[in-house]
Amino acid sequence: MRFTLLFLSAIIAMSATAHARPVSYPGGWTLMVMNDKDKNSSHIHYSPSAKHSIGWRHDYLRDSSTHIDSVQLNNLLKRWNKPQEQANLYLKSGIGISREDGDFSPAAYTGIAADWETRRYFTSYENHFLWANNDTKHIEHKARIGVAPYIGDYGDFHTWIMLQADYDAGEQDSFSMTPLVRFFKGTTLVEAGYNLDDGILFNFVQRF
Amino acid sequence: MKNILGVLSIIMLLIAAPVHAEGTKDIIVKVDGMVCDFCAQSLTKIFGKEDSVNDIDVSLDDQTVTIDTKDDQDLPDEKIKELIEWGGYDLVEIKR
Repeated sequence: MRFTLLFLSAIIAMSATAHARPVSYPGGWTLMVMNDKDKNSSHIHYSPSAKHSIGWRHDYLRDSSTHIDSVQLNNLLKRWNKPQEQANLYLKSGIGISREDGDFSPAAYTGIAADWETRRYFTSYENHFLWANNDTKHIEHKARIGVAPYIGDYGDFHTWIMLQADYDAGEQDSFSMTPLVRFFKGTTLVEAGYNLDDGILFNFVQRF
Repeated sequence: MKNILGVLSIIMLLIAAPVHAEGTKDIIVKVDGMVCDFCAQSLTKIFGKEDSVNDIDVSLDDQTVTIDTKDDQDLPDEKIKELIEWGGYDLVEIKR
């Protein structure tokens, strides 16, 4: 039931993000929705080139009941293209307004994201430093490893089995693991997992 | 004799210009960095905007983009390289 509600809220309210690339092809739009044990996020962005994207992002931090609306800029700092593999380094930053208990204050965040993938293996790491409500709210580190049980060609239904590690170095100082599955076909990516501490992960990405 | 010459002429023409029955030509482009459907879709969208392109086929297995151009139009190598790099990928080779 909880999963269903999360799914519906993700699709209908377009409220949340995913671990896919933060920059699309030139002229492309991307909707990213992410829900995990700590927050719900949504991010819609436009890529004027393959190296930049700009968009709107909304985060809801469940513990502090904080809403953050921001303009986010993603930059592809470096891409390494090799036969059958690719690696990327991104800078993701945003500024906006946070709202907690009816009080508004400026918010800003930045972070580095890196990934390396082949058609069989996937690894990624990203960090996220958030300042809001005149205080440092979150310092997050997130890493993933993944393997595809079979290799599909373009247009096929792709499946990945992944393990995500989250370390919150801010107020919570917590570490948790989330096994998940990724399904990928055409322009749609869906991820679903369960955090071993508690909480469902659901991510949805649609490219246009 | 006329028939034989006619058949030979047709065979020679077919060998000289590998043209589809619909009057289109294929260019096979090998690309580095294509690892997922998002990559393939990016290049499909980028090449699909070109007037001279009839159809695009991407193979992740072969790491190739096959460009089907309209019969009376061409896509120069320089333009293909520019579009591949504009999409964020690296060109390896072009086969015509």
